[in-house]
Amino acid sequence: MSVAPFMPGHEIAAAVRNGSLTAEAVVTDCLARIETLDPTLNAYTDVTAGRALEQARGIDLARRKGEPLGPLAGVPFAAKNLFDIEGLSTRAGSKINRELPPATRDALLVERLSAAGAILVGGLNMGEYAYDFTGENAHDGACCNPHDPARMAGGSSSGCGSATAAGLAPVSLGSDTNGSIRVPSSFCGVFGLKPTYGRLPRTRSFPFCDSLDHLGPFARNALDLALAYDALQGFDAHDPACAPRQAEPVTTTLFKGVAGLRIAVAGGYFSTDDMPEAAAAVSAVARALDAQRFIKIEGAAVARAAAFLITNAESSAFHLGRLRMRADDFDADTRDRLLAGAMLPAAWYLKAQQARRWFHDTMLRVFESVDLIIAPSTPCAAPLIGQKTMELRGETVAVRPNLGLFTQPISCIGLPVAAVPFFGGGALPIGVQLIAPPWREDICLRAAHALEQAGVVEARPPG
Amino acid sequence: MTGADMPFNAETHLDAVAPTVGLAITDAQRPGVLEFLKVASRMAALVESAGLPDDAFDLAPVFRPGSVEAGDDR
Repeated sequence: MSVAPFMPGHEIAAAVRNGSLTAEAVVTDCLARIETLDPTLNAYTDVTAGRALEQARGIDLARRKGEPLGPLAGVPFAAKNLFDIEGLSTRAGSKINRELPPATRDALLVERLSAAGAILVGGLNMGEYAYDFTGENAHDGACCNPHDPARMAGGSSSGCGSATAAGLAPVSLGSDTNGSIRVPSSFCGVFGLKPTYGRLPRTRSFPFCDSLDHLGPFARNALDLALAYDALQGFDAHDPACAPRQAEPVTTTLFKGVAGLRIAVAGGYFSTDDMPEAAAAVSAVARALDAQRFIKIEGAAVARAAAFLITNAESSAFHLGRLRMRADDFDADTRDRLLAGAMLPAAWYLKAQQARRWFHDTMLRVFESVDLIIAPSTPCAAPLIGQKTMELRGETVAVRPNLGLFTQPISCIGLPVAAVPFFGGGALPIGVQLIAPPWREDICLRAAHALEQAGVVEARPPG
Repeated sequence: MTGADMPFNAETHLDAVAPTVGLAITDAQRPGVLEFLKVASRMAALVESAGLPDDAFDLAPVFRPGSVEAGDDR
């Protein structure tokens, strides 16, 4: 029996558990689809066919023996290539890192998904060292959008958005420092979860900016996203930012709906005036969630500036040795930002950290009267690959830094966000952020599921 | 004068700081680096313009010494 290309992960797992599908058949079909479509999309940088088939056969054998199978049994997944994959150099989108020795062990989150029965089928393209919103990469080539391959997949988790949207991986693992899960989710039209800062351990992943780096899953529906997230949760001492909290499963509350939740739309800085695609998406989501209140979020512009400075200073310090020795081996788009960041006055960085705390406290006061905030993920749908400028609120601005306009203030203070995909009248999707107080990923996912059930958001297969 | 009002000369800054941190900026790199220094300067001015009160300052990174395994909050 072959597998439908867009079969949800939870249905795959159910079919593998009841024996109507074998994990080997699922993986074989997925690998064949990657071979057919990836030359156009360039979402994968590595395909781990051998280990995938071996794990699949192991799952099928376990089933025949009557052993219990995990909640994601037989579900293919792929990981942004900053996650360690045993036997591969962790390139993190760079040329320089290809010289690293192969990883001797998978990243912790890859291990956790594998332990739940999911099967790693490969490593995914990304912007160099995660410093990117476009999905373009000078070393591996641009990752393309499945809804229009001439357009950006978004970054930096470009391969995650593209592969999951194209049916090349029902689930994928990415990272988000300033929007790198939410921007590709928006452009490629899939669901993404950026959990609370400190929720998921970053053990054995290649860092970008310690103060802001988050890891999280992509999926094609809210239930798969919740199942993957639950499999990923749990403290790990290796990551000093990982919060000492017990896992707080969300799958059990996913179906509760949104009755009783106080839901508002973000105004002011997050206004979608002159952004028709974003405005339509936010409006549809707000209507479906019966969110009639608008709240002006004070300090968001300051938070975005703080996130910019923290990212620039920390990532540049991290790469300083490489910048001294071999700056021209960097992607030029990444290099010049990193070189500049190495020269920032310390006071700029420290003030930015203080502003981060100040905005965090401001937002906690907002959340005293609101449970969920709706905001656009991106100002527009996917721009063309190579496009350098765009119109934003009547001005011509650079594309690259402005794609994170709406995501940066939120990740700056580590709030959990589910990014949900909206298809309006056009062929291109655009995302909406569902933002909750710290540690309340359950609220984000309940709302995402309710919107999906109402038919307002969906990961529509590319036409 | 506040930081937000102070002029920032990216060229002067680059020429002074790059050798201090051991970076040799090539002619090909220089225009891009200058542009990003100017962006960072504008971002820093924006942060400074927020007028954060002294008594609200609490640096976001918190360092907690001690054994992770033995910590009483784990």
